[in-house]
Amino acid sequence: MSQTAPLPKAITPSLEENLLYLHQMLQGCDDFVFRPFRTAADIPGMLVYSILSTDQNFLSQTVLPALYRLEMRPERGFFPEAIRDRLPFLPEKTFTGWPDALVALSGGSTLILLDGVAETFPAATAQVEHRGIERSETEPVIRGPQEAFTEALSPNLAIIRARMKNPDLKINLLKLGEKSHTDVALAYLEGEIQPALLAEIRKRLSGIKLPSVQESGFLTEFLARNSYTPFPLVQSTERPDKVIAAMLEGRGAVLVEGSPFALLLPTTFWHFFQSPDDYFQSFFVGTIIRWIRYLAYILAAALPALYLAFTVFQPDMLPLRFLFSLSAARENVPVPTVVEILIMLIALDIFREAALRLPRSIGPAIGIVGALVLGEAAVSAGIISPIMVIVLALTAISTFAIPTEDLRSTVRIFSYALVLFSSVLGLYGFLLGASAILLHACSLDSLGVPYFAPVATLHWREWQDVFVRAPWPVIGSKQQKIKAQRRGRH
Amino acid sequence: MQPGKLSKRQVMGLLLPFVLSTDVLMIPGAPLELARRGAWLSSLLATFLGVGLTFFIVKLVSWQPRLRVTERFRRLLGRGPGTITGLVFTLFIFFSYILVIREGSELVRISFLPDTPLDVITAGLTLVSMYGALLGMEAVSRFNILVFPFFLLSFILLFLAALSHPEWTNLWHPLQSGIGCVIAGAFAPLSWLGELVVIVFLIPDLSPGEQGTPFFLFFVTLGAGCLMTLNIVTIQISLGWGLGQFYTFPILQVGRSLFSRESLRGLDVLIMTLWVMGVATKLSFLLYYGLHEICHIFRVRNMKSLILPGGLLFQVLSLTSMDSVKELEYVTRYLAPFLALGTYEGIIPILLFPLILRYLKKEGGV
Amino acid sequence: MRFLRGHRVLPVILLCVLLLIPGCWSGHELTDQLIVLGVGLDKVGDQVRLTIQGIRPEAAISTASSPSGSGGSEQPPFSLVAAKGDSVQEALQKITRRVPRFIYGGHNQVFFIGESLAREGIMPYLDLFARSQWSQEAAWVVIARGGTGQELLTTTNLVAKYPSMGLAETVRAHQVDIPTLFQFLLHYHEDSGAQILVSAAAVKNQTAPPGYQMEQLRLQPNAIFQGDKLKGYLDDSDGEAYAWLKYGFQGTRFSFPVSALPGAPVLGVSLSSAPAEFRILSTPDLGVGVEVNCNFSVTEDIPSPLNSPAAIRALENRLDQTLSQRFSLLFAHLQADQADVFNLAEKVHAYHLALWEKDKGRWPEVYAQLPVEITVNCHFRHSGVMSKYPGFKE
Repeated sequence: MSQTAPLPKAITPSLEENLLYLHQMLQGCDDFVFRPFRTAADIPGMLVYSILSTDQNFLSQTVLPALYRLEMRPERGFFPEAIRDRLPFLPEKTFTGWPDALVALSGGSTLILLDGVAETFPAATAQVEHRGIERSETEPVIRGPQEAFTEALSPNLAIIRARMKNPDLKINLLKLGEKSHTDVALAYLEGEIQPALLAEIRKRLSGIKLPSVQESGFLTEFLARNSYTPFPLVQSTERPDKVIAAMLEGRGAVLVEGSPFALLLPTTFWHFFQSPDDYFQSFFVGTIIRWIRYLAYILAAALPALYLAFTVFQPDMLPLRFLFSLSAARENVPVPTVVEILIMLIALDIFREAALRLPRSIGPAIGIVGALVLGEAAVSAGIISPIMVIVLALTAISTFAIPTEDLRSTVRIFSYALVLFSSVLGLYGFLLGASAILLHACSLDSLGVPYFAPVATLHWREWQDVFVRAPWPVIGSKQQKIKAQRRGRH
Repeated sequence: MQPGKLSKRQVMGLLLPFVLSTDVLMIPGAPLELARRGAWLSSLLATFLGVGLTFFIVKLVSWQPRLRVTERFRRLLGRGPGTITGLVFTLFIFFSYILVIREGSELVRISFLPDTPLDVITAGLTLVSMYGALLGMEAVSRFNILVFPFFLLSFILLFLAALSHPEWTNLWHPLQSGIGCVIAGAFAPLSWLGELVVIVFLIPDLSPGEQGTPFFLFFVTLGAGCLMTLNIVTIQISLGWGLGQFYTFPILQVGRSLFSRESLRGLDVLIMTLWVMGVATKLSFLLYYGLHEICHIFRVRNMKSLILPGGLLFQVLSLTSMDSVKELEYVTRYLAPFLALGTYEGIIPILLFPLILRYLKKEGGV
Repeated sequence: MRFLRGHRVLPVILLCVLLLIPGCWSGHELTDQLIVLGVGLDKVGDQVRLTIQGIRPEAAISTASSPSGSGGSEQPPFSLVAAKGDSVQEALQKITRRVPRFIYGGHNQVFFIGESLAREGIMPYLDLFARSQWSQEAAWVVIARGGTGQELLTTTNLVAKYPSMGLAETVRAHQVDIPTLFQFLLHYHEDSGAQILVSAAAVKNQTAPPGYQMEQLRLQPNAIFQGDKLKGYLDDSDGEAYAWLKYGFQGTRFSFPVSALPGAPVLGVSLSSAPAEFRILSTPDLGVGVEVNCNFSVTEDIPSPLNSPAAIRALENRLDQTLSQRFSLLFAHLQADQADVFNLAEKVHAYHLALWEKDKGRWPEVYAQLPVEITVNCHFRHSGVMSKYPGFKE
């Protein structure tokens, strides 16, 4: 067989030809092992597997002995089906073509090739080391379940299954990534999800053309079909309880092998303010905390800009004594307020980024050094006014009160933009900027559901989970559902 | 945008601030000046007349609600006259756009950015409205729903604040300066209430199930009229007509004098800026539908390409067509009302009424 | 840049850029401002003199932290800038040229108006402030009785560092009502056109021992205005009575002799009430009914123990009489001056339109002839924590 011969797509009955092909394909992959064997009926066979991702104990203790005991011959008809009956560890599916077989092989399966059989049996021997289930780091709660998803897909799905013991929980598996062949799962509750919505999610998932999918974040822009917005249009979470709650609302969840973050969609703006805590505490506490988060979001986006607008353009909005304090604090500050704010905002973001990248043991230390020491030094050196430090500290803390990282990272963009608007036209500029941002947000939709639904679409009944956290008997009786307010175009 | 995408509530939410945002700023000056103590009666009268006008408007739009403006007039009047009528309506939309930009900007400039050139302020408003028009009515209506409660709240808040030292006797004897004055004072508010006629542009975008007979328009007129009256009452009980007529934006003055204590300073600025947001919604609305109709009449495929030149043109027009705020005051109080009532708000819908009846009868016969 | 073309991002960027190209116009850094706390307006010769009491707040705070001793040698914590001009605008222009800071008037507390200017008419000089973009309607209008506005701006004492802010503190602490610019405009446009503004004079507290005689502003609601012109002053007693009628008794301490006999013991009461109610009577002729309902508590009752209902009733009647007399005197003076400061004209206009139409032209004369019927109803509520005079022994 010449090197230039077209590669066969199908598996041939000849073991020799198959091996030749495999050797050719796996050239340079030193981790693949070819282990010959003979069955009890003296049929030569070959096990092909990767030593890196295969459970070799299982292989030697279960797979090989079973193959040695195999007494059937190909002449006796229905050979592959018969073999599968004898070998209980084999999956339902066998491969007759090479591309699928090779993907399975790379995924950790062991290929069983037998002479005279034009099929290959993938034994599920994949074993990749993963970390165990740990506490949620990015979405911690005080009360409630602490477990978070891990990088492995199947344990994640297992958690979901364990929390929703219901055949209506459907999990569709598919592979994405033309090169990486990553497993992706779409989970939803039948009966809760709108069929049109489900079809749309499937359509968008199957339309994804990427060489590799390493994280669920790769998929968000494809699922949202809108890359040019600072607002997150798909919610990501590492908490199984959030996924369950979302599915009960009629939303779909997309999980990706290798990513501890599930994607929930469609998503509205308000979803980012819901934390599981709300639902584990009393109605009053849940509601108040939620309002505090809205306030925190507004402060995080608007406080520096409002400070600028009030002190520089509208001092008559401030009480006289307050004005005195503000003004006295700014004495000796050499730069205009807007420059001061921008310096501080940028410094703040640098601290944040630095503290994030540092090892966990010294991250907080840097945060303290940055915030306290540098801030204090800047104030006493007269470069920054103490009021500005207060304003920016409040802004930063407000940012951290937003429960989801998706939103947290985007709110900074708005604070910069609003500061620039305010610096030109004061409160008027601020409101123009805020109007533009709000208009933009109102034009967004996540899989056909308007971003500000149900508030901006005036579906009163669903407001119970936006402005308040309605008491459980109320929520329980009429579970809020995402109505697919689908628009004509998709 | 695809037609039929706005819900009834959203349209109501759009129309109320649409009518109100201009009706409360400069317009109260007209009845205060003409009807004096009877300003509130003028406003009420305007509300009742407005309900009457709404009847014709409802008739106009309930016939074939899926038709765009020009299409509607072409069917009613024939191709030539219909196109011209459609064009007149569209031009009036732009006329309002120009007036409203200028009004909102003057409010901002006079009350809190006196050193800023007017063109920068109008540019800000124009850009936001252009952006709104670009995003389409769906986004604008959602935005409006988010802003509207605050807009409404500001009315109530001002009225409640005015109740701290009300001079109810300022409202007495409304007919003191004669019934003629009261009627004269009603024209300006009526004409801006009559802006409700823009529903003919909007009706195809209302969701089909709710297009039937848009009776909610009566509610909008009544609601807007009542809020406008509330606004004038607020001015009258806190300023009286004597002082009220001096101010370009009387309600602004009410806000200023009521919220000027040490702890509650400058709420007037907040209220005014909220109204600017309301005005921004209105401007987006006008620009969107005006350009939409122009595209329809002149068969332009891509409406979005017209937004930038259109917006800039109208901004320049709003700056150059009137020299001073006095002129603007004159136009909005005494010129535009008669122009508008004489054509697209009043006379045309009324004249079209028999035609529509004829068509309705014909359809009923078939 | 292909991905930007025809996309939503483009207009957003355009919008930002267009707005950001120019600089900022109406903004002023706090530290570049001279915060105006008080304005003095005086007539000097043919010209108007504008005096501005401005504060550099950063300096104000730093001196506040180090308490000054007896004062005197130290610089005052504020600066006064004055200029003369044919109009307020001209004077302001001169000040603006002289002061290297932006003059910010949004927090102006008070207009001190010199007496000569007040007699000439204050409206032309307040015009500029009434039109200002900064809401100065809340600033008080105070007439400098027998002096100039500038003098009042210099009054300092240890309790209140800045005269105008000290004024604010006094007003807040003692519930004094001073008409603001807005109220002045409002009353100016009412039917009667007459009103009473507060006058102030700087006085030294003569009864205090030497060295402690602080300079203070003595505020009295007694400047009678007809239109925008100062017509005269009420005397002290009338000024007090006016404030009682206009704003009600607000915990007012009041002492009066128990009987008309000379040397009769004095009884102290504390009164509180709503503002008086004015009623226009037209049976058969036009008249005014003034009704005051007030509650009082006894704070000093040295002579007469209030131990019986009859004694209380007697005390109430005595108080009614005393107050009625004060109010009748006030009305007599006001009617003599033809100053309808309670805006009875508006009441007549509202309730008796026909009569008003008839008498509109000669209202001051009609007002001067108006019979006034004063009813005072005082009600005893309590006598402090003790029910009787502590020295009382049976």
